[in-house]
Amino acid sequence: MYFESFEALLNMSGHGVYVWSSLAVTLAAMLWLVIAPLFKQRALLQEVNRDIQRQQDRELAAKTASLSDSHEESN
Amino acid sequence: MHPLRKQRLQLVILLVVSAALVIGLVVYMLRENGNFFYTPAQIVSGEAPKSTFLRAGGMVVDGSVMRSDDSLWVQFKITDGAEMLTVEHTGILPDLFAEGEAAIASGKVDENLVLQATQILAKHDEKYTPPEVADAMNAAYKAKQEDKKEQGGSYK
Amino acid sequence: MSWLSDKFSSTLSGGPSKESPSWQWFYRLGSPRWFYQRSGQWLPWLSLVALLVLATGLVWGLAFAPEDAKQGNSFRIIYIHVPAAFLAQSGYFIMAIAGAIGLIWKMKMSYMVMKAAAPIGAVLTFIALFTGAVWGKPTWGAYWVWDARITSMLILLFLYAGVMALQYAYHSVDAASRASAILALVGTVNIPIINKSVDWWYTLHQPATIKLTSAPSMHMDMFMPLLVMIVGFYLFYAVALILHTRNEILRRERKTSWVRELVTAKAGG
Repeated sequence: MYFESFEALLNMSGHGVYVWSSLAVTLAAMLWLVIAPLFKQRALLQEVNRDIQRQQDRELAAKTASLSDSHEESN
Repeated sequence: MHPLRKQRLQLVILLVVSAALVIGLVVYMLRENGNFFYTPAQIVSGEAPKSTFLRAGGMVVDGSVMRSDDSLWVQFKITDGAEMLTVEHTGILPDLFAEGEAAIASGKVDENLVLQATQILAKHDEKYTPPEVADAMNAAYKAKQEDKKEQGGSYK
Repeated sequence: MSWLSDKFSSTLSGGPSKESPSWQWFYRLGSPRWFYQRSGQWLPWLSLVALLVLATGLVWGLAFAPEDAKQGNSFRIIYIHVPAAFLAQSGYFIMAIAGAIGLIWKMKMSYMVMKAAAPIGAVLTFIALFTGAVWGKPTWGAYWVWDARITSMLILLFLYAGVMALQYAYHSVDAASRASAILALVGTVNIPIINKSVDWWYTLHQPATIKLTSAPSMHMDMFMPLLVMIVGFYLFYAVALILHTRNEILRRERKTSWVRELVTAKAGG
């Protein structure tokens, strides 16, 4: 390592504040660029799943309705 | 309003606003850099206006930097090759500020033709060298200069 | 007439053409389904490599590279600032080229890439501006200077914001894509201005350290970690672009059968 100690690395002879604050903001921004789309993807897939469920429910309801209709007719 | 026309209107407004913003920024940039910028010669000759905000740029004269012992006050001279301008400033100087390097001082010129600077900027070049390498290069440069001096002496 | 309609439908759907196998990759790349499935396989590996390269570059640059003789340790910000500024500009080209392909070949996939590239480029431009400001304070003596390089970078940020805003200014996806692509293409004039600004105008910003035509004006011990960081940022950019593009695919294709199959297969498994 270029620095003699961990403290010297943190301090960077007085420039540590500038270097580490730059790094912190950069890493936060980069993480956001990667993590936000992952959450978004989960939400999108759940939305598609809900659409499929709703459609299946509707089909099921239509089926039972037609079944009960035919049942009534036969009576 | 017709939705399509409304959309087009929004688009036109967006384009006009952003174009205005860009042009405004560029004009502001050019004004900041151009209008207030004077050379030391212009200030020393009295050509530059007094007690209005301006900028002066030049090389920091070797051996001209004087610092106060008990405050952040500093005085130095900058030159454009023709004239020397005295600059006074109270505050922390940028890391790249050094004798023989370029600096830009902004502030107001007082009656004694001294620039009372509120901000000192230093320009840096694109070269990056580790300290040991820089020291070695300086030593080599000095040795060369001394060689030249000796040679010059022998010719005389 | 059925052979004619068959031919038309196959070209219109943008499916792989049987006539020219050398162009198949282009058509495949144009298929959102193919891209989504393939990118899903690559992503974990690509992310891992990007993470390793970035970590190596950061530790090397921040802890092991020597300090600069004039600037001291504040120069280490270069290891974030320069790669971010690099990718902010390269990313703009990627966005503009994607827009151009969309305009010329009417390729849906290309417009999705363009839309995905805008927020990533905006964030990278912001990083470059922020780290530049933090670096400027100790070295130049000011956070912000209205000089050509910094102003043109600010304009780049507004261009990215403009492309993003246009995506939402229209109800029709096609119209939004076209308008964004045109703005992205017009905005490319700004890129050479950013590049040349340090030569054309008097500025505080130093000229380019890395040039294609000559050796870098930087000591090798400092240059190597910078190179690693630039490669790392390119890899990171690829990961981010793929992630954002995948979401755009899901958003636009959520009614299609292949997305539905994908979701049911996942729920089943």
